[in-house]
Amino acid sequence: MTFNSLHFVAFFAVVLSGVALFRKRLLARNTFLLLASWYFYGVWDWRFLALLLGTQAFDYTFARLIERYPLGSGKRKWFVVGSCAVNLTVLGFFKYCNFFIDSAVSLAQSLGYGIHRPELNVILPIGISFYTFQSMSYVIDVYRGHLKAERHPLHYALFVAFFPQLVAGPIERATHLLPQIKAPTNMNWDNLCHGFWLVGLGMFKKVVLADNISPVTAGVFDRPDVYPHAWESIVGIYAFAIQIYCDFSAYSDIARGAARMMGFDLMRNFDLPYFAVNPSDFWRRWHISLSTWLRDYLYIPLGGNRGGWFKTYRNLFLTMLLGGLWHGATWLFVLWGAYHGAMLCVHRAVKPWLERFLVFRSRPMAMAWTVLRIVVFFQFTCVGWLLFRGGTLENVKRLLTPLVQKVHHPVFAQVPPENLLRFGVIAGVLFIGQLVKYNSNDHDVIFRIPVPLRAVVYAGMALAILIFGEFGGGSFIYFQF
Amino acid sequence: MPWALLLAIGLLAAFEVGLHRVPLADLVYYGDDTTQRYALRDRAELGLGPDLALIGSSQMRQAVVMPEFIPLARRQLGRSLTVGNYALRGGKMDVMYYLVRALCESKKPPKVIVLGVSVRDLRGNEPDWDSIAPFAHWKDIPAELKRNGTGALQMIPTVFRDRVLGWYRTLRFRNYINYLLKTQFVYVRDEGDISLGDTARELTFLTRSLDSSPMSRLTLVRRMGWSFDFAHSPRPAESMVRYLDKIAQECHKRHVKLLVVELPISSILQRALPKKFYSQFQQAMAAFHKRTKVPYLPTTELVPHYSNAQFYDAQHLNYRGAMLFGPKLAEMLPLAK
Repeated sequence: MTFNSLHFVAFFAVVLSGVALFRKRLLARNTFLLLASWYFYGVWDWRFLALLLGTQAFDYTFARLIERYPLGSGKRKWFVVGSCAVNLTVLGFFKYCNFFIDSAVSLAQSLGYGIHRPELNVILPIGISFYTFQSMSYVIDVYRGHLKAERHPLHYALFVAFFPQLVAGPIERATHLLPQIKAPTNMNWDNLCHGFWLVGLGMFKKVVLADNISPVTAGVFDRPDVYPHAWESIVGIYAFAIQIYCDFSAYSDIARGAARMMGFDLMRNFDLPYFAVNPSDFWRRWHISLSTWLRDYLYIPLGGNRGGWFKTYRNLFLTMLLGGLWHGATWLFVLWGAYHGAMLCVHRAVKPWLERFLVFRSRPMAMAWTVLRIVVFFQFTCVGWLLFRGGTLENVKRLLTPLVQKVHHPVFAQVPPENLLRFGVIAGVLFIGQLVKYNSNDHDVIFRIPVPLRAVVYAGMALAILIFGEFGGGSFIYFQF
Repeated sequence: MPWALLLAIGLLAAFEVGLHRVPLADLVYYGDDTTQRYALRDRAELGLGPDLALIGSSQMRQAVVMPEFIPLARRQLGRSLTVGNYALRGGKMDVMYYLVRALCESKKPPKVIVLGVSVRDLRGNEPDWDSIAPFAHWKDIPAELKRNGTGALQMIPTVFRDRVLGWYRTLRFRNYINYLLKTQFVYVRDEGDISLGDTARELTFLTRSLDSSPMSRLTLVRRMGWSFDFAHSPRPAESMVRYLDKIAQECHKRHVKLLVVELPISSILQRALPKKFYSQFQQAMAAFHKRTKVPYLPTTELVPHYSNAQFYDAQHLNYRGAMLFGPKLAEMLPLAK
C-alpha cells in the first residue's frame, strides 16, 4: 500500500476517524494505531510482519534488561552489544546475503575456482533498514541513559511500527516520538491544516514532479545499448537529481503530514538540500534522520573528531562508506558512500584555508560567492547521483564518457522535445518553490503569504495533481532500501 | 476560517464550470491504449458512436483500411452512413462484449456491428479485468463475481473512480487537457483517430510483410506465448464463449444488426497451433451460429487464400492484406441481421 494509492486514501480516512474517535482514550487509540500499522505493513507481505514483531519483542526485552543494571555496568554493555548484533545480523541476512554471496563467488571465480552460485534468493522485507535503525537507536539510548526503557509493550511496539514512517522514514528517535505516543491526542485544527498541506505538497512532489520526470531519467539511464550525447547525459543526471529529491522528500512530507493530522510531530527529513554549499552542509540538509543517526550512533562512537586528523578522516570516511552500504547491497552504493566520504574529508581539509582567504565584506560579493558554491556543489552532488542510479559501472562509464569527449552533435539533439519540456517545467517549478523557501528561511512560508496568492498555489497544485498526476501507483525509490 | 482553502475550491469550481461550457465531443481524446478505451466509452455514452461499428482486437483494427472501406460500406448501407473502427488492441471477447453493450445502450446506438473474431479472442477463462473495468457499472461487479469469481473485485477501484468521479470533467478529460497543453509547447505528431476512420496510426507500420522476416515455429510460439496460452487453455474458454453469446443477446435486444466474421491468421501461425486447436475454435463458432442464428463468415468465405506477403506479422494483416479483406467485408455487410 503506497501513499499514492486509493487503498491508502481509504485506509487513512478510516485511521484518522479512528484516532478522532479514540482521542480521549490513550490505550484504545494506541492499540488501534498499532493494529492499523501492522495491517499497513502486512498488506505488502504478511510473512514479514513476523520479522517486525520479532524486532519489536526482542528490542523491548533487551532494553528492559539493560535498565536493570546501573550505568557503566559490564552486563549493560553485553546486552546492548547482543541487541545490536542480532539486529545487524537480521538486517545483514535479508539485505546483504545475496550481495556477499555474489561478491564471494565473483572473487573465487576471478581467482580461478570454479564455484557456482548457491540457489538462495533472499527477498528484502520492505522498510527493514528503517525500522531496524530506529529500534537500535532506542536500545542504544537506553544503554547510554538518555532514556528510560519503555515499560508498556504497546507504546514501544507503536513507536517502531508507527505506519507513516515505518517503511521509508524519517528514522525517528525514541526521545522525540515515544513521549508523543504516551501523551493525549493532540488533534486540532492547526495540526489538521498543517498536516493536510504537507500531504498535498508530498502528493504534488510525487505524482506530478517525480513521476513525470522519471521518463526523462529512464530515457537516459535505462538504455544501456545507446551512447548518449553530452547534453543528453547532463539532462538525464539532472533529471534524476530532481526525481530522487522529489520522490523521497514527498514520502517524508506525506509521512509527516499524515502523522501531523493525527496529532504527532515527526522530524523534518529535508532542508533544501540542493542549496547546500559544501558536503557537510549537504548532509545537514539531505535525509537528516539518517545523517544524524550515523553521526550519533556510528561517527561519534568511532571517536568522531577526537584523536587527531587521521582518525577524524578515517571516521568520516568509514561512516559515509557504511552509509552508502545502508542504501543498497551493491558496490556502486559503496562507491557512492566512499565518494561522499572523500568529499567530506577534502572539504574538512580545505575549509580553514577557504575561511581564511575567501572572506567577502561586500554583500553582493558574498552573495555571488554563495551562489557559486551552491552551483558548483550541485554538480558534485549530481556526480554522486550518477553512481547512485547507474546500476552498473559500465552504465556509469557510458554516461560519463560523452561528458569528457567533444560534442559533435547539436545541443539536445537526442533528447525528445517532450522530455525536454517535462524537464524544463518541472525543474522550473521546483526551483521557484525552493527559492521562495530559501529566501524566506521559513518552511511554513505558505502560511505567511496573502490569502489570494495562497489560494492560487493550492488550486494550482490541486489542478496539477488532477491533470498531470501519474496515478499508476508508482512505488517510491527509497522503498528498495 | 480557512479562506485560502475555500478560495482555492472556488477556483477549481470555476475551472470545472469552464470545462462544462466546452462541447463534450471536443474533449474526447483518443490517445494510447488506456485512453482509447475511455475515448470509445465516452463516445458511446455521449451518443457519438457510428452507424457501423467495427469491433474486435488489433487484428480487426488492422484488417480494414478505413478511407477505402468507408465509401464501399456506404454503397452497401446508405450514403449518410458513419463508420467507426472501435477495435481495441489486446481486446478479447470480454472487452468486446462490454464495448458492444456500451454502444447498444447509448443514446444513438449503431445500426450495424461487425464483430471480428479470431482464435486468440476465445482464449483464457479469466477476463481481462483492467480492460473491462472502464466499461463496467457497479451492477456488473456482483454479476461478474457470480460468473467469474473473486477476480472481479479488481474492478472496484476503477469502477469507483470512473463512476463516482465521472461527472467531474477535470478528471474525466484530463488526458485531453494534458495533450492540449503539451501541444502548445512542443510538436506532437498527430497519430490520428482510428475510431473516426483515420488510419495514419496503422499505416505507418503496415507495409512490412511476414515473408520478409520469416520466423521459426519456436520463435513464433515464444512470441505469441502471451496471447496463446497453449498449456493452460487448450480449447476455447467457456467464459469467452458466454461473452460471445451475450453480445448476440445484447444486439438482439436493442435491434442492432450483427455480423460476425473470422479474421485470418497466417499459415505459419496455423501450423504453429497445437493439433485440434484451430478446429475446436471453428466448431465453437459454428455452434454459436447455430445457437444464435447470427450470420457468421469464416475466413474461407471472405478471402480463401492469403499468403505471408499479406501479413504484417503472424496474426495481423498488412496494408496489402487489409486492401483484400476490407472490400470483401464491405460486400458482405448486407448479410448482417
